[in-house]
Amino acid sequence: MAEEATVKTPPLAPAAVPAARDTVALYDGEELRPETAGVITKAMLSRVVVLAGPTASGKTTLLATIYEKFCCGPFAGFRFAGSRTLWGLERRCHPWRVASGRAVGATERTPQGGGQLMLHLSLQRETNCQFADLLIADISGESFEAATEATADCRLLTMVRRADHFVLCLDGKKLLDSGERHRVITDGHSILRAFTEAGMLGKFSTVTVLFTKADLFHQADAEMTQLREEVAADYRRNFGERLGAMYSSTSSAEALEKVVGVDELLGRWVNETKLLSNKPFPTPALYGDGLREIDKFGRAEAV
Amino acid sequence: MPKAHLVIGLPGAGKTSFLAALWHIVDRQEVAGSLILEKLQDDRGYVQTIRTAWVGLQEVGRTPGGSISPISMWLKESTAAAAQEIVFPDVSGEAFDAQLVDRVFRSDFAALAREASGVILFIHPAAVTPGERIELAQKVMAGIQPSPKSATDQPGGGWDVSKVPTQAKLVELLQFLDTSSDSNYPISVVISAWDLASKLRLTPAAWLSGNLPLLGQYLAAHEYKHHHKIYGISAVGGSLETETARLKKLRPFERISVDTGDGKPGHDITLPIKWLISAQ
Repeated sequence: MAEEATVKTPPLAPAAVPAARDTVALYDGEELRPETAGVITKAMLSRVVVLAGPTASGKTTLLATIYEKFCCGPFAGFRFAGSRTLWGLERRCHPWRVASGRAVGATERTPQGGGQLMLHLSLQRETNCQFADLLIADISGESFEAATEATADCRLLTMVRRADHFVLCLDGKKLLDSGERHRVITDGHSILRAFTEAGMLGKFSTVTVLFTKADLFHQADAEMTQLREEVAADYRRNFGERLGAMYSSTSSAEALEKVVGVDELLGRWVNETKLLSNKPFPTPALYGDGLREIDKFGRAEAV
Repeated sequence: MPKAHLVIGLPGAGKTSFLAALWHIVDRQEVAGSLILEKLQDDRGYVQTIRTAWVGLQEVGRTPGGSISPISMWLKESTAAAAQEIVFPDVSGEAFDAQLVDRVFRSDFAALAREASGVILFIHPAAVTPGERIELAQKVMAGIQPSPKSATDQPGGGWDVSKVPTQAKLVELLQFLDTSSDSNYPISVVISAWDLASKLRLTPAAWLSGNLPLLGQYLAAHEYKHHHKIYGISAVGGSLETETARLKKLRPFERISVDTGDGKPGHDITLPIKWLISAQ
């Protein structure tokens, strides 16, 4: 009779802790900066979007919401194809999630002095499988406020010159408040003036005046809608001729199930890029060093 | 260069149970058409242990992290074919958690990733962290229990990698591999413990796109480079707490259920590997 084999429990061999030299570094998944964004811009045609505006105007919320919509499925005719800055996107969404432990979702303020941080989204069109890479700049409101006070601070935001889209975010909720309204309008005007006079926005720029928190707009009466149109018309009158194109849009991005206007924005960002357009590039003469624009993008710039 | 396929997945993704069942199937050759074993690595004590537990309807248990060396077995489609290596770099899955936190590959893993001919990604339906939004959770709760009139905002817990939803972690693991290799390797996605999810009467692909939409989009977008196929696999066949009587009546291989989405589940647990071999 054959002896039944006995299965012996093997001794456990503890895995050695790898020394640093035994490891290969991966990308960190956090925000890109102009000096590190080359990994995207050199590899593929990418669209640069600058979200501009004073503090708490809805810039980061908009960015986080776009990513959250993709977390739920394809959005605006695109599917999510990856991100080099996945942790940066996740960090911005965290305060809106149950895992944060909050009772109410709210975006955390982009820290001042953080520089020109960019979040990356690689998208693929559902219809023809073409890829489109977006680099969306998430810059603190304080940086834009400083830019309105000094041309030098304005020129530090080098992303604006390279941007395919400059999106000026105006707080729709404050526009409804008669005490805050004029400050919102003036702040937006100041930002546009500062960047156009510094040569950071020009005929090479596509500007969208975006009235955020539009869910409150939709609850307001026709007078508020007219106010929004007047503001947009005023900006167009003052700056439209100096810019390549100017749009006005509304968006609502706080409640994921009630997102409005964001799909339209995303479509415009992908479909319109200066690299494929006949709009003039900013001339190298502004820098006086003869360098091409593409060579300047990605150079270390102190902010 | 001999082909090698990499098995990856977060802790608790079902790799250990799969390995136990896989070893049994290729060793016993009771399932027609299953891959043939050429050899298992010399140190096979751990694999034998978990296989014995699996056969005996005992909890295979999660592999403790850092305790088991990489496991390899060489399988082939026929006696005449060349064997291909199936590598479990870390059955526990903790190495993959560490990759997400430390953002490094161990050099040995980096070498495997660089040369991988295929990838098998494991997902456990009960281990998915969804990343639910506060307002949506409150909406669901409001239907169950009225909420207080005013919800006060409290500073929440800070972000760390442990709070990242499963789908984002899995996308990141695949992106790590993609940046480490130039080859267009295929990916088999195995949804383990499929007996839990199959009650929903969804195909494995539908389950994935509904529960892990970010991952589903990523896989679809990269289909041009990394063909993928999704399987629902139950290596155990049911709950060891409530269905033992039924499972005892089955031969071990009969407990295995492999759902490819065609409505005809079978017992060949080597199917995800066979597909990788054929997809090259």
